[in-house]
Amino acid sequence: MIVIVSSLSFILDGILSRYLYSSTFFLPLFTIVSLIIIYPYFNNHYDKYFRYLMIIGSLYDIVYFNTLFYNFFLFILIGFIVGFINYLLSNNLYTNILITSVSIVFYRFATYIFMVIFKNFNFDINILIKSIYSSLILNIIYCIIIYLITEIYSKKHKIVRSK
Amino acid sequence: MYKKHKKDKRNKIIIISIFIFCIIVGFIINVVITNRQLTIFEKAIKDSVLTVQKIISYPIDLVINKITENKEKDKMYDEYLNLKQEIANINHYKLENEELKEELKEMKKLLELNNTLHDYIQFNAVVVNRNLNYWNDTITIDKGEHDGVVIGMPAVVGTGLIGKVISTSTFNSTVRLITATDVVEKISVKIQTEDGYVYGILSKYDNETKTHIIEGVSLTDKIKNGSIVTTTGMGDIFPAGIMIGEITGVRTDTFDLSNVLEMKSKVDFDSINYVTLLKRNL
Repeated sequence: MIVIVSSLSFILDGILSRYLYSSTFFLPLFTIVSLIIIYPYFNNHYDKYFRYLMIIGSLYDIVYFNTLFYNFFLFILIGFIVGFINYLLSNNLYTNILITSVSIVFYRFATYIFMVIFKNFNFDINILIKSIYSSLILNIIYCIIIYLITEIYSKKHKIVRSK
Repeated sequence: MYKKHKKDKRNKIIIISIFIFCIIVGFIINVVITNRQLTIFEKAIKDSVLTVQKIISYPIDLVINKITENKEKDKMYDEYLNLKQEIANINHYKLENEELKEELKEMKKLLELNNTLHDYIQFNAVVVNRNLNYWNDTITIDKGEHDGVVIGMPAVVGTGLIGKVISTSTFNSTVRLITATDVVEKISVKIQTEDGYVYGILSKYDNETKTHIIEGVSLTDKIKNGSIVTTTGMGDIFPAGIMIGEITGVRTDTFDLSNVLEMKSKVDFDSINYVTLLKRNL
C-alpha cells in the first residue's frame, strides 16, 4: 500500500506538471500528499517512516530538482508536522485535509524564503500567496480521493493502520 | 567532578552537532544555487524514473493528441485557404534562399571562413515534465547525452528562444527557461530599427508584467514599440539571429543615462510540448 501510493503520486507529479502547468490553480504536489496518507500505515514506527521520507526526498531531489539533500530535509520537516498533528488529532479525512494544507503552506513558504535568501529573489508576498493557493485546491482534492481509496482498500483487505 | 565531566561532554556534543548542521546547510545552499551536475548513479535513477513516466503518460498523450486533432479539424478549411495563398509565394522565397545560400558559400570561400555566428545544427525533443518548484522555471526533455546534448545548448520553439540546457543525463536533459527569475546569465541581443541594429543586454525577467528587460541601450538610439529582438551570436552559447521577442515599452534608467527596454516574447511559455535544440557549429 505504502509503496503503491507514494510511487503513483511521485510519477503523477511529473506527468501532471506537463499538462496542468498553464492553469493557475492546479499545481501538483502529490508526493507531499502521499507522505500524509501513508503515515498511519507505519503504525507508529517513526524510524521506518522517517527512513522512507529520506528515500522519497532524495528521489524527488534527483529526478525533479537536480539537487541533493534539499527536499530530503524539507520532507523530514514535513514528517515532523504530520507526526505532530496526528499526535494531537485522530486520523480522519478532515485531519488529512488540514495536514495537507499546512504541509503545502510550509513547503512553499520554506522554499520561497530559501530562494529569497540564497538566490537573490525579491521578496514579494503576492507571489508567495499565489504559489500557495495555486497548489492548495488540486492537492486537497487528490488528498480526499486517495484517502477514500486507501480507506476502502485497507478495510477490505484488513490492513492495520494507526488511528 | 562527575557533573562537570557530564556537562563538558554535553557541550561537546552540542558544538559538534551545530558544526555538522552548518556544514550540511552550507552544502545544500551550494547544491541549490549552483548548477550541479548529476553523478552516474543519479543519472541512472533519473533516467529510469523518467522512462516509467514516459510509458505511463503515453496513453494520456494519445488521448490528448486525439482531442486536439479533432478540435483542429474544425479550423482546417480556413487554414487550408491561408496556406494556399502562402504556397504561391513559397517558390519565390525558395529561389531567393538558394541564391543567398550560394552567395554566402562563395563569400565564405573567398574569405576562407569556415563557420559564421549563424551556423548551427538542430534536433528536436519532447517535453517530459515541467518544474515542480514554483520559482525555478525549468523543463525536462527526452534527449540527453546519448543524443549529443551538451550543457549550454540553446532551446527554441517555432516562435523564438526559450532557454538553454543546464543539466544532462544519459537520456534526458533539463532546460532553464528565460522566464526563470533566477537567471544569472545575460544574453547579448540586437534590436531592429529603421537605421539598422541597436545592441543591448537581455538582463532579467519581470514576473508581474511578464516582460523581459533589456539594458545597456544608448539614449540616442530611437527605438519603436514592435521592434524585433534577436540574438547577436556574441558569446559562446546562442547563435545569431534567433528571434526572442518584440519591444513593448521604452523608458530611461534611474540615472537617465541609458534606455531600458521592455520586451515581450511571442512564445507561450505555459504550453511548451516540443522544443528544438541548437548546437553551434563553431
